[in-house]
Amino acid sequence: MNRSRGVFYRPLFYTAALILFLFCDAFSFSALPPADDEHEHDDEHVSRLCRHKPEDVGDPSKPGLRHVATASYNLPNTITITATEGGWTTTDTNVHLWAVVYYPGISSGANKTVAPGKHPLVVYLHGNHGIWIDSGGNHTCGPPTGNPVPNHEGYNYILERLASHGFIAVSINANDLNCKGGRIVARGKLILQHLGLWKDWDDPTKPDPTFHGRFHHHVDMDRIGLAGHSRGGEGIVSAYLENQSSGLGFHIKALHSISPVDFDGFVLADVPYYVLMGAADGDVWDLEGARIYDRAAPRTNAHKMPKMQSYLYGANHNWFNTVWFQDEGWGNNRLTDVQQRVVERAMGAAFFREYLEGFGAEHAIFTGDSAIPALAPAQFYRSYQDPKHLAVDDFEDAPPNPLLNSLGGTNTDISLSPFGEFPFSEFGGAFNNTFFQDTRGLIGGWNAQGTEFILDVPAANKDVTAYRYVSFRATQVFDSGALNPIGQTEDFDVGLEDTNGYSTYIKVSQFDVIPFSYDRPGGNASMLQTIRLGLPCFSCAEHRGLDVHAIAKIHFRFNRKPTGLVGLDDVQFSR
Amino acid sequence: MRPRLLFVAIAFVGLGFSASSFAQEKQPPKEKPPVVYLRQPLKEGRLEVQRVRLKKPAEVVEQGVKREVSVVLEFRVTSSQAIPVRALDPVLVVGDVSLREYRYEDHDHALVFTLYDPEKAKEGAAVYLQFGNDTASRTELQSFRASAVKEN
Repeated sequence: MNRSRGVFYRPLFYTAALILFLFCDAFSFSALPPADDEHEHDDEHVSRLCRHKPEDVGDPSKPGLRHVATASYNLPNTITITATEGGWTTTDTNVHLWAVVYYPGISSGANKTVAPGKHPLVVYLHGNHGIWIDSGGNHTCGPPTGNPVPNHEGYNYILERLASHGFIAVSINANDLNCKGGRIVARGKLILQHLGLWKDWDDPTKPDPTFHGRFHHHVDMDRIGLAGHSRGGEGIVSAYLENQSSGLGFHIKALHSISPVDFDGFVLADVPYYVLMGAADGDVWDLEGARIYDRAAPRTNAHKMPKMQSYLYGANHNWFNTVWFQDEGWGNNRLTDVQQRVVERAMGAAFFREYLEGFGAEHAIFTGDSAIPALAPAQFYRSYQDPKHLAVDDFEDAPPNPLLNSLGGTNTDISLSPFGEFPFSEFGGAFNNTFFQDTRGLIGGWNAQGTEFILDVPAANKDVTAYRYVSFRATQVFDSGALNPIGQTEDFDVGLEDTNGYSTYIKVSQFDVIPFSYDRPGGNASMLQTIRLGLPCFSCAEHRGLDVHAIAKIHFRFNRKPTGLVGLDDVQFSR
Repeated sequence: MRPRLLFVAIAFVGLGFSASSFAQEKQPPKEKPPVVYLRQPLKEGRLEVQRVRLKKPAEVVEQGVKREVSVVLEFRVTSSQAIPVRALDPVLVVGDVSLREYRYEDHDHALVFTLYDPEKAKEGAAVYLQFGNDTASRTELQSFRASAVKEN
């Protein structure tokens, strides 16, 4: 039997090998002849051939199959929230437990019976905004008019969509914490109070004067996701951390911030985190969500969570909430309010389907292996870090030394100028005033051919077959056109070299775009994004030399543009 | 031929005009809300300071230490515009003291900050209002003068 199988399969094997060889050979050419020991892959087909096949995830912004039912609650008893933040303790009395609920029903409409089964719970929380509607329709902090701003109803567009996909989606009103300083920790406590309500509403042994048992056995308290906008975007982080530190036992499995503030410098270490930020944010103008992303999965605890970020060109702060109608946007080429919300509807739904329902395929939207055509014309640039990765250099070592990487290998600078490690931060020491992150990275510039940055991979780490990508974060540094011409994309080559001295180079633009910074007059930002280059692309030429079991160097060769200035960070091998 | 060509040309122009008019009628341009720029100083920002003797002592907890205060300074910032309610907190800086506890009043035309340690306000201290670290939003106000403090 074995022999006959071998006879049958052997021709197929050789045919496949021949096709693979021909493909690799056919697409290995370059405008300039490569050096003897280099092979360039300079055709768009290469990227398709060697990249993992983009997964078809459909359009997550489309409605799911469930009937959508609605409900709301505003409990007669209010609570008192005492919270300590920034050294100050505040006490807020008469805080209402008020929310709107969208859930899968046996039919559509208000207060319908819940569809059979347990449904994951997603809770949204808004941020700071006026709380009273005055006679002119303005949203103010007072005096009270008896007509409260329904700040929590501004996310109905995503709640409805989540419910259609099988989630119980709740949006909390936090008016009683608005128009006051901080209240991030207080917001977190408010969320936890609501989770306590839902725990009870799932439990038939608990009295339920609110819903009279409608949600008994229907709330999957083992799969909770939190989402928050603006101060709510940091409030959910506070809720997650307090749930852990106080041992409250809620099973919060995913966090999603929309244009969050970063008042308290929280660090997430063990929960999938997704931040969506508008580049035209005229309120949180310094894009503070990027700081939460950067600090998450710290190098001392880097392998317990994926983290992802979308930086959405043309999106303002307010329009992710339909109630916040005012346009405070700062910048050109703006998205409309509808276009902004299409992005949140798709990405928010994809995130929670991925991390609460385990869809898996939607992962590709965040890594860049899949795009959603329905989101056009929105342009957004992503960051992603997989928990399974090998950090070659995160540029965080102390004392700072750009010529030594995080694995202990040597880095080599060939003629870059400027060249050095800098904080990518607005709080001092940055290369220029266009950085708003919370990380350190490398700055490299060039105005001549032949410049390169090379990272040595120590022998102990040379076998990278456990990984699928060479991953790094990059940005064009905004320098008013000095080295990066206004409005142009950046490009360079990335190469792998093995211990035999064999190297293969990939042109970054075949895989992704390193865009010019979003145009905010007087305030452009240099924002890192993640580029992931599939290892199969480099090893396509393995037949002729490159040994991915023995990688010795990673090359960044700045040969595609005559001048340039880039920031680099988080050079990794990654899943 | 010429009159016919002229007729055809007029017909085309007319069709084009009516088609564009029709398109506009079918899909009227959405009224674009005006952009409200938050990153700028307040219009006509003014400062009044008042010493307030509380009817009932307030409990203040700072760095975990509880204390009662019965006299505070209230810094009232007013503007001819509604002071924005932003994600970023307004901070009133009085010399080297930053006040972060506030309340809005008067349909958001006033922001009142409380200083629980009146002695920390130094004579001649520069005073400004700013949202978070948004320096573009900084509103310079009058320097602190003890003689200008109103008594309540």
